[in-house]
Amino acid sequence: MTRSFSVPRPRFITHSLSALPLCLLFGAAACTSGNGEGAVRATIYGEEFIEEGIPEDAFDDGWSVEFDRFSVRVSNVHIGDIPLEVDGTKDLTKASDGEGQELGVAEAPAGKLVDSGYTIERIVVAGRAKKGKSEKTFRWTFDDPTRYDECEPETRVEPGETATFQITIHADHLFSDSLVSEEPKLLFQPLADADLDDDGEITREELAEVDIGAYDPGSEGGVDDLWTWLVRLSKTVGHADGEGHCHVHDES
Amino acid sequence: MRTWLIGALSAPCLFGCGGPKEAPRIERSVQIDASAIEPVETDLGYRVTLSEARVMVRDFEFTVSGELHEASLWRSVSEFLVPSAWAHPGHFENGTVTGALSGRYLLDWLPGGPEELGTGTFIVGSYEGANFTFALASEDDGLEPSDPLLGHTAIFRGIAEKDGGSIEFSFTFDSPEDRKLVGLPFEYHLEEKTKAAIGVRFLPVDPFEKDTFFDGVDFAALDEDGDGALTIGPDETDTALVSAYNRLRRTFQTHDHYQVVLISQGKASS
Repeated sequence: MTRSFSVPRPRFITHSLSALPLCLLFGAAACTSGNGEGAVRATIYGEEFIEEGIPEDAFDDGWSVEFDRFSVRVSNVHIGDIPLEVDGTKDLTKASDGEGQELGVAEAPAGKLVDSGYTIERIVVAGRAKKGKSEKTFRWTFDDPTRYDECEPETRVEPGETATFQITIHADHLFSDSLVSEEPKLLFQPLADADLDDDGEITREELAEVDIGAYDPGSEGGVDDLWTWLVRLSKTVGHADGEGHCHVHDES
Repeated sequence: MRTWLIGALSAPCLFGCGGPKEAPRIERSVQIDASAIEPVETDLGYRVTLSEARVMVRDFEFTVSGELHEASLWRSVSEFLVPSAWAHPGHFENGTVTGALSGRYLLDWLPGGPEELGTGTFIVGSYEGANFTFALASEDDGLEPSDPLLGHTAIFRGIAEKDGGSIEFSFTFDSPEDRKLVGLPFEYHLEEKTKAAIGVRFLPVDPFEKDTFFDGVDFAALDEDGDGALTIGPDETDTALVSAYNRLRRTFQTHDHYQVVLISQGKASS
C-alpha cells in the first residue's frame, strides 16, 4: 500500500490564529506562538530496551534479549511543517545517556508544531536471546518502508531555544503475541522454536516456514508465517517523544 | 461509551446554539440472520454441515468511512475514541462509528433461528462496516449451568463427511475479553425511510476468496482414535489438535466469515 503526501500547510500559522481568542482573553502571557525564531532538533532513541536489552522480567516466557545491532534508517523527517535534512542511519545500541542520537537540526519559528512525521526505510536487528542454558541468535533485515505521520506529540519552539522531537523506537513490539491487543504478551519461545535446524540461529528462511500458531494477527488475518508476522510487527515500532503514537502508512 | 456519544450528539446546545446541523438519526432492529449457513465443501474434500453455531459478543458498532460533515463534534469525538491505524498493537481500526447496539448478545445462528438482538441507533448515511467485541459466555447471559458454551466465546458443532465416512465435531473457541472484530462488511445507505432490519450473518464460505471456515482441517487425521468424534478446544495439549485449534481460531477471529445485511421481509436486500 502506498500513500502520496500532500503539500505541507503552515500549521503553526493556523494554530497561531486559532490561539488568538485566548490571547485576547488572558493577555499576552497566554500567547507563545509566532514571536521570534528558534530551532528544532530531531533525535532517535531506542530506550533501555535497545541500548541495554530486554530483561527476562519483561518477557512472559522467561527469555531475555540483547541487541548487538539495531540500525534504523530514517528519511523524510518533518517537525510540524519544518523539513529536516537528516543523517539517516543510526545504530540505536550505542549508549546515549537517555538522550538518543541526533538526526538533524533546522531553524523554526517560535510556536507550536504539530502533526510531525517520518519514514523508517530500513531496520537491521541482530542480537541474541537467552533462557537458562538456551541461546538463540538472530539477524533480521526489514526493508519495507513505513511512514509515520500525524504524530500525537506537539513540539513547542521557544524564541532563541532548540526544541526536540524524538523518534522513539519500541523494540519490545517485535516480540508481541498480538497485532491488536492493547496489552499483548511478550514472547520469544515461538521464535526460538523456529530454529528448525537447531543450529542456534533463527533465520528469515526458517521463520517463513513456521506457522504463527497462537499469535493473533487481527481481524484481517492474512498473516500465516512467522517472518510475515515479524515484518508486520516491525511496522509498529515507531513512536514519538516516548509513548506518543503516530498514524502508520505501509509504503512497501 | 457509545451511548454517551449518542447522548452528546443529542445535546440541545449542539443543535440549538448555532452549532452543526443535526444529522437525522434512526432506530432499527438488529437480528440474527442464519440464511447463509448451508453445507460446504472444504479444500480437503469434506462436506461439512453445521448443527450449532453460537458466538458470544458485545457492543456492536457500525461505521462510515471518511468524515461526517454534518456533525463535526461527532467526528472529532469519534476520531479521538476510534483512532485509525495507530503505530501500536491494539490500535488498528477503521471508519467512524455512527451506529451502535450496546450490550452483550449471544449470536445463536443454529439451532436458534431468527431472533432479534435489540434496537440499534444509526445516523443516516452510507455505511461500510461493522465491528463487535468477542466475549466469554456466562450464566448471567442466560445460559444453563450445563451449557458447554459457558466460559467460552463460541461453539460450532456439526458433521464432516468424506468417502462414505463421517465425523461428528465440536469446536470451542476462547477469545481475549477485549478482542474486537473490526471490518465486517456492511455496505448500505441508511435513510430515514429505510424500514429494513439489520441482519448479522455467519458465512461458512468467504464470499470473496471462496475458502471455507473449515479449510485445512483434516477431520479424519485429527480423529486419532477413529471413534468418529472430534473435539477441539482451547485446552488441547496434543500438537496436532493445538495446531488445528490455532488455525481455526485465527479464521474465527477474522472478518471474512461474517457480514451485516439489511433484511426486508425476511430476505436480505442487496
